[in-house]
Amino acid sequence: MLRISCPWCGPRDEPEFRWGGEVPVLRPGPPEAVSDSAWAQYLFVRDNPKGWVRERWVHAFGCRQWLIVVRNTVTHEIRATARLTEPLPEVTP
Amino acid sequence: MLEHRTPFDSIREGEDPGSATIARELIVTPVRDKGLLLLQSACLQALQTALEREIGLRLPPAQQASWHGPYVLLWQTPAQWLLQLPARECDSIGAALSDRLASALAAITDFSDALVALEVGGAGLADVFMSGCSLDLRADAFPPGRVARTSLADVPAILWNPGGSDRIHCLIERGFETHLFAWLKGTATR
Amino acid sequence: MRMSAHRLESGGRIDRGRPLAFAFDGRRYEGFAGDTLASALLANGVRILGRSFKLHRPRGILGAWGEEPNAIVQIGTGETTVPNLKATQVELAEALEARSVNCWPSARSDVFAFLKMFGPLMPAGFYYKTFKWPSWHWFEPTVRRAAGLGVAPTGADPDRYEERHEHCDVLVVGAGPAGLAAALAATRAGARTVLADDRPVLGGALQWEEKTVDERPALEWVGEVEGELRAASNARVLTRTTAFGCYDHHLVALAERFGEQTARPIRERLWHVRAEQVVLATGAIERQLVFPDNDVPGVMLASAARNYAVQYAVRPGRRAVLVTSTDSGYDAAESLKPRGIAIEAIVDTRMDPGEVAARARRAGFAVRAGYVPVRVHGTRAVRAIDIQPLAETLRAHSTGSLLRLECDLVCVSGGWTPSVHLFSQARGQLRYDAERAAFVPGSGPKGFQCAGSAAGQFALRECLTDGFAAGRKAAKATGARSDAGISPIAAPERTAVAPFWAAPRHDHRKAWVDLQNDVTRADLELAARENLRSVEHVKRYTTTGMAVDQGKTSNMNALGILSDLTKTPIPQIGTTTFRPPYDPVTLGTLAARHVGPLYRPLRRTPLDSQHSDQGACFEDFGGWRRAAWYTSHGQSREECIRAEKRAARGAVSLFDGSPLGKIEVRGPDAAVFLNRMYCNSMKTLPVGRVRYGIMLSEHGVILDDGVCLRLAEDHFLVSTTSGGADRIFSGFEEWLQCEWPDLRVLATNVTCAWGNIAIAGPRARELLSLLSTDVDLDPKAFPHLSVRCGRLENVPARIARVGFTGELSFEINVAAGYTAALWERLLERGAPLGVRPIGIEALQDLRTEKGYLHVGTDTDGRTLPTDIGMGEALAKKSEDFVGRRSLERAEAKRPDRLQLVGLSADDPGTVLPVGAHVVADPKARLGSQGYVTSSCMSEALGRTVALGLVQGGRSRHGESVAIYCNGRLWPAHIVSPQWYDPKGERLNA
Ligand SMILES: [Zn+2]
Repeated sequence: MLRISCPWCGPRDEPEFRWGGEVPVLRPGPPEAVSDSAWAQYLFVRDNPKGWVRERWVHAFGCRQWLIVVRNTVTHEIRATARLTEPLPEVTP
Repeated sequence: MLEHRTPFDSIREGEDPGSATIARELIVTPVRDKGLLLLQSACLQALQTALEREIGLRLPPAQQASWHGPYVLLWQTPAQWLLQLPARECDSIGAALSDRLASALAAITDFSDALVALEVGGAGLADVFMSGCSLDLRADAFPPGRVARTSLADVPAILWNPGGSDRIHCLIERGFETHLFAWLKGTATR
Repeated sequence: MRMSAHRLESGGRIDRGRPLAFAFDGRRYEGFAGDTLASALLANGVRILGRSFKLHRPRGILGAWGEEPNAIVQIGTGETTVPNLKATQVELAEALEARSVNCWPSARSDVFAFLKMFGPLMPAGFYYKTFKWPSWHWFEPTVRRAAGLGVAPTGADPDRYEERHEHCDVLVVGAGPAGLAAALAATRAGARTVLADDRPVLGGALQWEEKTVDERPALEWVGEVEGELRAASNARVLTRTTAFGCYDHHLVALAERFGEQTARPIRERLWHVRAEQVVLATGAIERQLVFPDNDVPGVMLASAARNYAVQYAVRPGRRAVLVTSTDSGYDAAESLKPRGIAIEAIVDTRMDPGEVAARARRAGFAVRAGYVPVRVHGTRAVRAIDIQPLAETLRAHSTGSLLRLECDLVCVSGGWTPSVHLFSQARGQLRYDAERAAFVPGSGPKGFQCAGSAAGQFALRECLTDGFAAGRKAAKATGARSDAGISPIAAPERTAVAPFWAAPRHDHRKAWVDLQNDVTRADLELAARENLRSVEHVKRYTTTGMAVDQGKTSNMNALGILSDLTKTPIPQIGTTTFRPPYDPVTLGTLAARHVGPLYRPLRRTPLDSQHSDQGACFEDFGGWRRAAWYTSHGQSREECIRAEKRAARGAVSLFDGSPLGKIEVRGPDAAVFLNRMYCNSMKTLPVGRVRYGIMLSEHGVILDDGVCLRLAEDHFLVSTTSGGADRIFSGFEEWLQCEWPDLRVLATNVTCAWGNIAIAGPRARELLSLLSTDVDLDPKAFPHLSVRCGRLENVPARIARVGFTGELSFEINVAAGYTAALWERLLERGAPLGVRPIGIEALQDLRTEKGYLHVGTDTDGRTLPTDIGMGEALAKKSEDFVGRRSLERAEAKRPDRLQLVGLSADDPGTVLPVGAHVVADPKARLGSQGYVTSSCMSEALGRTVALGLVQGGRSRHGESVAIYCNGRLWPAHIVSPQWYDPKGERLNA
């Protein structure tokens, strides 16, 4: 079970959080200007790397804030967490 | 005028938390006659000024509570605080704060009936709570003035330490009190 | 009292003043407090404790703790029975009842024993190869019965299980010498320390190894350390507590047992320990030696024989032969001999054991170096063992220099395997150490250290210094700064080992590798011959290392044998993956408090006790305890529900809608935001008006529906389905925080702040006007789909003209604390009007006949708004909204999509079953074109009604179709879903 350090509440257990997928994902628009493939890309296509990935999680049972988590998909190590208002942490594959 | 009832009024024989003491090591006391206002604002300065003028309290930082007289402010989220105050002052202070914040992006919501507040005390406090909460709630790890939003017995809960090493205040959404009482009673009775 | 024949007259750490009566396989025995079931049975001369898994060979006790592969028992009876425990780990208790498993009627006389004659016919993979046709599943129940273990209880477990979260600086697993030293150092240094050990007493092997620490008997030292730890405010000592799993980020799970006493407040407790630093002092397990007939009862690990003799004062035999490939095996001889167990010989498989053998010879022991065992005589008990020089055994059928040694106990010592399970679970890397003939911890995960014999340090001296250093280092890493003092010390020992993986084959007798799963050396040869290369495949093919003991005494031997057979070095073969649990854990422990009413929290509405008073039958709807219907004296469930429906259609009804989600949305951009959240327009909603709206996922699929109330230009109240409040509110927060942080909007979930009562029926207005209110109830001033904020009975109220029944209705929101009094007043004032509370069941039927859909019932994970008739509303909207782009895909515009329709059975008395399919070919009953989603008998229409999702259904009204379910067909017609009051006259009254 992961221990995630919420930028507001400190380290908390994984069940207090909900996973929100890889970031960044840019929502394309306006809808009439978006091709089917660009929309499908936005909905379904993710890098899903083996190694470091940036994700967003929400501290649902805590401060209810969304945050960025830099996690290793192999070891589950978490290198950094950040607020949405902070610059997105860099990852080196 | 309609009669106002709290969940404690409707908890029946047998499900009652008892005369406050639910087990040798645990005392549960419903917090009565307190109102709650949920304060939300994107403009913290405006909220800060309004609170200082109205009740003389400063906004506590993350994970902290501040109090002054009968007023308690609990940090909830980076833009949200919970003000506990005497029930009879709820309407007037709520209206006064709303007026002061009229031009800011702010919302004052009466939460008196939304949450149920309990004071839990006794020697077994940390042992009982830590069987249903993953936080370290022992006195040195959860000192006076600390606030945590977390889950207790699978229910979303706001916990805060009002001072001392043997009491924790617990606020849960109305409707979960029967579950929490049953859980507390079962956990404390060994 | 009479001493059992095999109990020593004195000694041992048993309480001879506390005899305990117990039963095994229906026979009565007596033991002492401090015994395990295994030691007590040995003391009573019971040698056969079970039958082997496949072949039902008699099996005795091999080990003395969790490594035991044979002595599997079932404890207790009825609901509290526990299957598949190891007798070696079961603490003896008064009136304990134990039974052997996998044999019938008992281990002594097992009717399946004939199976052992078929041994040659049941090689590795036998089941897979034999029971192929028609399929393994066809044979599985029968095979499982003959080759099964214990039986699970059928009733609910009446015992109490707990759980506990714990945070500490240093967790030490194992309280042998290394663990005690580590816990001592960490505690003295000032770290918050938890020490957990799975045995009832601390000390580990010091309980029976008769050694010296700091120049005094080791157990004295253990007692002092225990006293110091228990007195320290920063240490917690947990005995009978198994650390069974290491999970991510230093979470270690422990299972604490409270013994088998009859009156126990808690049976077991699950600990979730988050430790900054973990010291694994989990010890090492002695290995079995693989030689022909090594499964005969009486073959026992040398360490176990010593454990029984010293700790439990039990004589596991009278004449022993010690077979060893290690120096440490000799220690057993020194412990057994003074306790009246004759040592017939020490058989050392090594050609030149060196000093240890010389010393043993000086002490009067007969040492046979370079000999290996080739046969055990006896089937139900060891009678003798044949040994032969290794060189002779390599020659086929040689009887050269064969020696027969009479004995009733064969002690075996095949070297030590460090217990690296937890280290490996924590992603620690293992390294093969040829000198120790074992996998030892290599590079470790951050914050984990192995100490003592778990790290391959098999001598006491190194265990103490290694453990102490690990504890001090761990404490220092957490910032603890006090002086830990100096490490305890002990004398040096010899621990050399020369691996002896298996005796060469002899006379085709079976040499057992894994006793629990009946895997022989020949089975491994077969696997190698059939070219199974991966150790994981070999494990699954032969079943070696599986089941209750997970191969704790056998895995290394299997690897060594495979290495010899495949000519591959052991490090290249590697180990199988170590997974939790290290030792079996009961389901009760894992479930802990999450059973019965506490399985999950159920919310109650502010009217819960009012519903109880009115005889409500409660059910769980979306996590809320709600009234399904109200019982009425002498009436059946159906009659009650019909009466409720009649009240709503003919008079007036009250419904508790408090669980409906209520979200306030405030701010200058509130309208813009909600316009993006709903697929239909909310920007155009006038103040004081209400609009039905639908929210979509980005895939265009319907997520939720409900009404949206505009209370002011910059203030909306969003109403969600009752189970959807948290989900929709969380969605609002996500969009506002992650996608549109620029919007000036504040959302507040006020679901539990307000109660909600829906008054519905032709006399609804009449009822409401009997209460005092400043709201003008006149239909012209307060039309359908509008909202008024005012006072009702002098408390603040939000009243909306909306409903889910199709009748004239008002939904009243008042503060949760006033809801009960308002409900009581409405019932009291409305009595002359025929008011009646209605439950979910009646409401479901009322909305079905009105053609109102229920999201999740009449829609599924593919339903788009256009499928339910929202196309027009969408066409009017020009702005973007969540899910909009997905509605433009070709798939979204297919004419044959599943669309919401009414389904009218041709026989008006037939209630079409929900889930029944509309079939294209009624004769073949094939080709689903959709299915029934809601169905009921309509009280108002005097016939049955149904809703369904049907391919292209919206353009097929009037078409006749066949509905199929479970072998039956019904003729029906597709109709408009608006069965009741299609023009909405009653609604707008
Ligand atoms: Zn947080």
